[in-house]
Amino acid sequence: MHLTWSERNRTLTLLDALGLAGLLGMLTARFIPVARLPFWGCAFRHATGLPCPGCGLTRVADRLAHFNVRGALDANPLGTLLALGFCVCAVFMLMHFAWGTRVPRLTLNPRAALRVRTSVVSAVVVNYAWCVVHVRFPGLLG
Amino acid sequence: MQARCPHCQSVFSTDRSGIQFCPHCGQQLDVPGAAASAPLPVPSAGPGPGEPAPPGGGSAGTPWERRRELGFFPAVLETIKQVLVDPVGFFTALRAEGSWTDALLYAWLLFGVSTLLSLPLRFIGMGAGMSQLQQVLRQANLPPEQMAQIEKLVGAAGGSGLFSAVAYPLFLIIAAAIIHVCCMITGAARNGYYATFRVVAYAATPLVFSFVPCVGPLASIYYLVLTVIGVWKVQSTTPMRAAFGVLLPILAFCCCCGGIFGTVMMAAVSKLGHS
Repeated sequence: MHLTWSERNRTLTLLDALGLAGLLGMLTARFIPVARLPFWGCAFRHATGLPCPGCGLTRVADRLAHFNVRGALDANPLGTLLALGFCVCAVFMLMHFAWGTRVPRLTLNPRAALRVRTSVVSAVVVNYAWCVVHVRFPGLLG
Repeated sequence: MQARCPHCQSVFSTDRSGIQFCPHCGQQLDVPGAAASAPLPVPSAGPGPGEPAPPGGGSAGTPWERRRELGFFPAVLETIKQVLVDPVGFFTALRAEGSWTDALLYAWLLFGVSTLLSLPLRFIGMGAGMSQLQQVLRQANLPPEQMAQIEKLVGAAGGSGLFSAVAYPLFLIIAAAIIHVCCMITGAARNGYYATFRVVAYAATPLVFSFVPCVGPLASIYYLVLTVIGVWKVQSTTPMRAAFGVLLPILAFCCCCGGIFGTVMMAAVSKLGHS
């Protein structure tokens, strides 16, 4: 694993693009009640009664945009971490374009990359299991 | 005899040597005589999954990136033709480290043209669409100020088409970032974000026809196919990894899309039942 920093610049990077996505997403969640729109919903959950792995992400964005972190964690824990990551990227993007902040670049060797990928997949599976239990057996997980 | 164009790298058949024009890009080239010509090198299909990408790339850029020498319209048309007809050849020759702004300009130009061409159809469908939307919003029992906000936003977006045309680069940047992150998860992001961005921008070519009724969905599917081919070739990975990387965000969002699709279908069925 190798972390390097770029020179000061204002060039668009992946972190800026993710930050842009986070900023627009949070602004949308803040000012438009997407979750309350009648055509918004999960077809999988509607048909089976089980949540899909992405269920709760709209509520996460909505609650985080209103600074309700606890409520967001209750809707989807991994989604909350993801959304917080997007928020960090948004802050970074603003700093990068305003002051030309240096951009970190993480290079992983194949073994570390495999470990990271395995961790991501495991986190998604565990989070989905949590969501299913949380929906089917409310109150069991507190 | 077979000749290779030094400008667009395409191979074509010719029955004579000397100065002539490439049938693909229209550039002038000098075809050597049969005795003098060396056997054509086998075109490389790009480095394998285990090999690093070539540092300088093997091509002088897409026809669009050579628009100063080819001319604006021939460059656009040639790029459209190559992307649609020979995507494997196009993305094999596409340099991973080329200019992302050129790719953005190309995609933005095509989107602008598509938006302009779709304006007549948009005006016809807008009236009916807005009344349906207002009906749906009324059912949602939203506070009046939020309802007014949504109506204003959607009205502005649907009415002028200007919003989508202006916001298109942002959409492209975000779409490329999401696809790139998914490609990182599947191990198909070797050549960096800009390579994915260039693929997403050039792969958007079929969307120029999306204003044609019934062609839109097909264009979207072909867009996905082109993106998979592009990621496969430009990120020097395997087709399977590329396909997973491109389709992962769609799988993640399919529930929302499925919800919208399901609601529209249910509404259509109930409407048919009433009529």
